[in-house]
Amino acid sequence: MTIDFEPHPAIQGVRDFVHAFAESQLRPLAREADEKGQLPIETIKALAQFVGNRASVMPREEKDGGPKESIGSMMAVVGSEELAWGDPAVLLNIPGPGLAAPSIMAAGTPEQKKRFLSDIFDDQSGEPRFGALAVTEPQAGSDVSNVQTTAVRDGDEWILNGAKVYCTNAARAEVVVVNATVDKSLGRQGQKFFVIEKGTPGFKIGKIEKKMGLTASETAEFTLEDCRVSMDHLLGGEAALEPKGSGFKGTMKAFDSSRPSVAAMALGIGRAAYEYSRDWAYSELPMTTNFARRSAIEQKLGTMKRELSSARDLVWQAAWMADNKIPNSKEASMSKAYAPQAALRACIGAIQIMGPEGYSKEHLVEKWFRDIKVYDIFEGTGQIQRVVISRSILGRLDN
Amino acid sequence: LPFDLQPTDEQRVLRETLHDFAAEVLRPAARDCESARQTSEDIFRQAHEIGVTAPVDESYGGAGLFDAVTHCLVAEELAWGDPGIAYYLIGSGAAAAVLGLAGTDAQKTKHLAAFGDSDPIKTFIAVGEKVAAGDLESLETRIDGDKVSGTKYGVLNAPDAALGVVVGLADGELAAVLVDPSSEIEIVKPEDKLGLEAAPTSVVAFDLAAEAIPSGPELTTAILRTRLLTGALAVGSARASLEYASQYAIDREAFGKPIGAFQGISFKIADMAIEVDAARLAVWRAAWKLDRGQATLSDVAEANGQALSAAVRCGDDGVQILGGHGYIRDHPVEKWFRDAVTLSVFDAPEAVGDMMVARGVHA
Repeated sequence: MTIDFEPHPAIQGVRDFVHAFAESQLRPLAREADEKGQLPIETIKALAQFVGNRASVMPREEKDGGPKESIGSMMAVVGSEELAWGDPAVLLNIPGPGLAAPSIMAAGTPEQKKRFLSDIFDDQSGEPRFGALAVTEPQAGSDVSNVQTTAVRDGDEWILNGAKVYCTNAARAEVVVVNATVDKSLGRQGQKFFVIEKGTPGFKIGKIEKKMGLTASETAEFTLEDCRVSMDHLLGGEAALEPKGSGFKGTMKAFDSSRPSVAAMALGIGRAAYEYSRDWAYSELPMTTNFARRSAIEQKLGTMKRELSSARDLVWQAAWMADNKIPNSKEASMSKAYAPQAALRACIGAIQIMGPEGYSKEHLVEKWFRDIKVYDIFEGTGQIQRVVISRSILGRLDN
Repeated sequence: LPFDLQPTDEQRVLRETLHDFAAEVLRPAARDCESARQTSEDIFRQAHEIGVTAPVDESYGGAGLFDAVTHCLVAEELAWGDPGIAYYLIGSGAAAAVLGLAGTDAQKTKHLAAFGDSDPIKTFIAVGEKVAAGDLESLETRIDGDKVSGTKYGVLNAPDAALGVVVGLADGELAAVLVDPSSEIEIVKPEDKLGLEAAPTSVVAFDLAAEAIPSGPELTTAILRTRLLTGALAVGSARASLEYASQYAIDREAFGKPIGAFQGISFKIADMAIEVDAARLAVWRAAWKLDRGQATLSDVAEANGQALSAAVRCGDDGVQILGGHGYIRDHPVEKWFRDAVTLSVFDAPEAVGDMMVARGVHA
């Protein structure tokens, strides 16, 4: 116990390794992927080979004889920052279970973890495989209690009906986890999670969204029309239906650990823009540039650096708490509320420092600006994070 | 050791002691000391007895050295009680840190014991000038051998200090001298200021022969440490505003609900909480670097920029959340806001600080 900002040596090793990967493998793909709105399949296969499809399934450090201290969350945030620094959209094309993993890990039975995660994603064939989580609906974003998708029991089966939107990788996922209401009278607690497998009749992919940024990340809508799944697709099995069974809130607690990672990705994008515009300014602007203008640019760069450093402090604080089993719901939300906005300011600042070269597609800063905006929206908007933070300080005052 | 944000057991005990002291002694005395424009002798003595105002090694008769991280924890906790009194207590003893870190053996032997006396000396560190404060590279005070000349602002204790450190540049390098304030310093005027009134400061002109403290990395680290304490005080001030406004948001009702139920208020509270954590972490990060001898002016500017802007924002939001009650002196939030803005000038206002961050990184 002592205040110390030096990351574990294993973390430093991972950071260096992932940074080199991001610089050599992700960054060079960024512009073309953005223009085409996707990555070539060979590239995705190469990424699958590289990470072995299982990047975020299980904590691996103990198994692999790594450090005894729990540093999984720190590992995740440091890796996420570096990968997003390389390219955030390409990062989301790295095959793996994605957000299906935390929900299945939180609510699934051992058989379900094996069947829907290990059996699919620990496969060493190198074929790219994706997982997805679908919560958002056209009429329900932050207000999850307004989810309209239903699951009705029919003997040993469930019949699901509803529409989900803005789902990353749904169109190519092996498994999609969805929440659906089994008992409307119970509100959010009446929502349960189901696993829908690719090709299930009634599971229909709709349009692929065209977005402001992160264009190479595939965002899909889909409908469930009398989509039948067996009881073993209900996460937690029949036990989930009992009054104390795994409910929506409990499962979403799993996201206390994903929020700092998303904040870390935002930080990585902001840092990319800061570093790029800083290097540009010092190489392109002659020392003779008028003093006031030069000072203004230096001040802006300083602000960017200061705010990004604080974003990293908040992300690391939340991850460190998670690794040390200290409840971190407030701190996870702090990192997610702060980092995307600091990074957005950095991206706008970078464009403004570079002027016409900032908005030009010859450089990546305009792309990073388009990419960063959604980080203040997905995985809980900045506003929802502030609801979480203020409730943890003030208690629930609004009912 | 890997990344860790848990203070040591010793630090935790110290924090608890200081928190009680701040709550029971400093808070109730804040308005009186403000009106008197002087922290009372009694409070100065009580703080001295706790042993946290001047870090002096036991071998020189002190209560023990402590590192920059601990120094920042102390400053935050005292400032939570009252930023003005805290500025006085921390500022009166900080010269001990400079002497202890950078002084010659002879200087330590000669001066340090007086910090540990039962009737301890009061001192100052004169850094700020009309234009530059935290921007140390722009100081206009010149040090040439044992000669120092320059005019300093915000000099604490000028009329009754027993010892002072004056910081300036010698051939472009950071330098400092020890002065005997009873000799030839010219107090141009006492400062009648916006906030931090419990810490009496003056404008002082120095043009005299003095004793040089050896320049070098130790001196730079020592001076940067005293600069960072301003940021640590700012964290305490910001936290005081956050906590006071939070309680008010729970207690005060409007339109039939606690005002904290409205997002116009609760989101401000959330943002203040983020600012406080970010500021504290930034200060700790810089302090940790200082203790390893790795901190630069840019690191300290970064931490102070984050902490001072947090204090000013939280000061503003604290008053705003209390509304009309925030503006009157029955509540402390208007004072903390004035203190925060004043504090921000004692180091580098945000814009200047951020320029220093960028220059440090590039250089």
